[in-house]
Amino acid sequence: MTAAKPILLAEDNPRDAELALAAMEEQHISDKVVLCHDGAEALDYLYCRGQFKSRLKGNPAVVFLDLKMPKVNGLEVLRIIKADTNLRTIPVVMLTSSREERDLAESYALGANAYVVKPVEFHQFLSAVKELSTFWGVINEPPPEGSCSSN
Amino acid sequence: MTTPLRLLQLEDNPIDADLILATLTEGGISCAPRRVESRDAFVAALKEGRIDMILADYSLPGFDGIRALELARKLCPDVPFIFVSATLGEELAIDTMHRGATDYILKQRLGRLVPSVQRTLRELHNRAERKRAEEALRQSEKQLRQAQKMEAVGRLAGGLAHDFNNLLTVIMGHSQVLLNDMGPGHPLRSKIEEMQKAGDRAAALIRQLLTFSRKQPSDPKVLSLNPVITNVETMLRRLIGEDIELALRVSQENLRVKADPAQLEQIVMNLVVNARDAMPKGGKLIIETASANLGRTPVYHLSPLPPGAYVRLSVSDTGGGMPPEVQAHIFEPFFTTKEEGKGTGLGLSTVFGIVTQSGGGLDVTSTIGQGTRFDVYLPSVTAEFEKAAGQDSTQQSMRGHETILLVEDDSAVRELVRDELRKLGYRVFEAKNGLEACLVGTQHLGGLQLLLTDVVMPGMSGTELAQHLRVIKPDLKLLFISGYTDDVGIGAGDPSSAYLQKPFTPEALAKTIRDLLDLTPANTTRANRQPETIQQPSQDNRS
Repeated sequence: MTAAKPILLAEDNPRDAELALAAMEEQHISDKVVLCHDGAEALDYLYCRGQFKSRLKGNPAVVFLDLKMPKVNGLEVLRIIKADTNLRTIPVVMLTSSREERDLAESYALGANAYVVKPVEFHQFLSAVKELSTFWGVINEPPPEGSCSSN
Repeated sequence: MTTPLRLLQLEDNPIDADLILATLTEGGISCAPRRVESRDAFVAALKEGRIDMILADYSLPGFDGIRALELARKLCPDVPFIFVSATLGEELAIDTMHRGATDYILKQRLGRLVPSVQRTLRELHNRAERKRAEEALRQSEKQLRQAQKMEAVGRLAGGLAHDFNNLLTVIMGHSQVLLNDMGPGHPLRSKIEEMQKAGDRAAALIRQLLTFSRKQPSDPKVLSLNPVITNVETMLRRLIGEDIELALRVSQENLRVKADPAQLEQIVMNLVVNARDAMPKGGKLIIETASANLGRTPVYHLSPLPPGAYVRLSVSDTGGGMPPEVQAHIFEPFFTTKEEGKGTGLGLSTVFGIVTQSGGGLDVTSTIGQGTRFDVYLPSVTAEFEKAAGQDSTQQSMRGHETILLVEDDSAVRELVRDELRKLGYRVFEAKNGLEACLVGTQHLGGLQLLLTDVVMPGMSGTELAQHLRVIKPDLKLLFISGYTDDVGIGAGDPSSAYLQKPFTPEALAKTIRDLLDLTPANTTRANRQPETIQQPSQDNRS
């Protein structure tokens, strides 16, 4: 099962980014990962502009968004994605080190599809990411209402 | 000191003996003396014991001081031995000290007697104190080790039971499905029924294991202990047979405890069965209840019991008793002295589990050839009786059409539950972990009525998942399923959530889901603060 669509990872902390990439490598999906270092870059990718002007068209399978990033923060990127009819269907996973109820509530209110508190320990982080990468099939084809339940 | 000093005097001269006593009495030491002259009388007195101190003459007709000392060291090694004698060279005196004499007093200088005796008594007292302290320390260390061991075994058993519960859910569920599909006349029906019976037995065993590890859900109520016992009396009589005499000595007081009545019965039954098996040739079995004031923690416990009012339930037998090496293991699961196939080794460990779960502890006293006695201590309760819970709603249809998000990491369990739910008419989305459920759930949230989730899953737990989804959909009904009974309290206090213990039957599942979905919220105004579906987010819902 190969995910045809890329995975967009927006993460300004190089250590966290490296950990996520290592975990995805283990799942043999690291070649599909596009790494952006801030929110503005992520938006450039999504809208095919700036350095991503000439990229292949199409939405990523999933977007991992760090909550706190320079230039444009994660919540703002999330708001823009969910307000755009073309981007709205992309599943967005908020990756964050914030356990604050307010961030959680706001993320979901803005339409995040999952909110993952970055585990501090390496192996926990790996397994959290692995867990995400085990169901790319679901993410690649966001099922229309009902089709998911047919067997 | 009011208790007189029990003195053994080895002295052939009554005048000297009286003088010694008078000196002691004058010095403020009251004595209960016993005077002996001969070797035989001395030995007899030593054997009889109850001596605090020996005062001996050194030179006696036909007997000498050194031999008297040797006899005393042998027969009463802890009793101080003081020579009170005339004529002795330094060398001999030192020799007696080497051989264990406490002191040597010359009859010519009786003035040293009183201080010597006083010092000896002080030392005696200190030594006894130290011994008591050491014994107490040893005892508490032993208890701590025992408690730690039981804790560890309990955790192991609990974890094991969890895995088996998952497996049993699959076995029992599928065989139930088969039975339903087969129709009454099917030739294979009896075989499947046998499978189910075996599964039931396995589930019962697991329940016992969980009880031991204090993970069995219990339903504690404030109740009177005595009726619980008198209610099972006839059953107990049948249980123990005719060779054993049963005596019930219930207290006149109304002893109230907070416990699960079924579990209390289990305690009594298990202890009675244990007592019965200890008396294969018959005997007497006594069940006793009383109130008790505890100032110490009983030997078998998990955490120390605060001192205070307790209720004691004792079961004693007149059987063969247990050697200490057996007694050390009686509450461990699978420990049994019964022959293979006769006992599971879970009876007493179940008792231990229930008692400690209820905040109590146990003492066991056993004497070889005389019998064994179990004392169960449970905290005494003075609160009022609780009212019986409201009655179940009437039978309703188990079918439904609502949409359920099913989250379970064990795929066999998930598929079983999914198929059952679909058969009942529900729409089911499934996910195998919390994160996947989040992604699936947030995309279908509009039509979703119920989250049915395992509690313990890698990564995001069921409770976390529920918390997340409730942020966007506050009226989402929650049903938690778990094989870990640690999770029993989950969802309590929230009327629109429920908990189901694995293994569960398809019927129990169907009924719980129906009950949850049919529940009309008390405050019917639906929360409109959140978007109804995530597909239509708008700018103004950033509240």
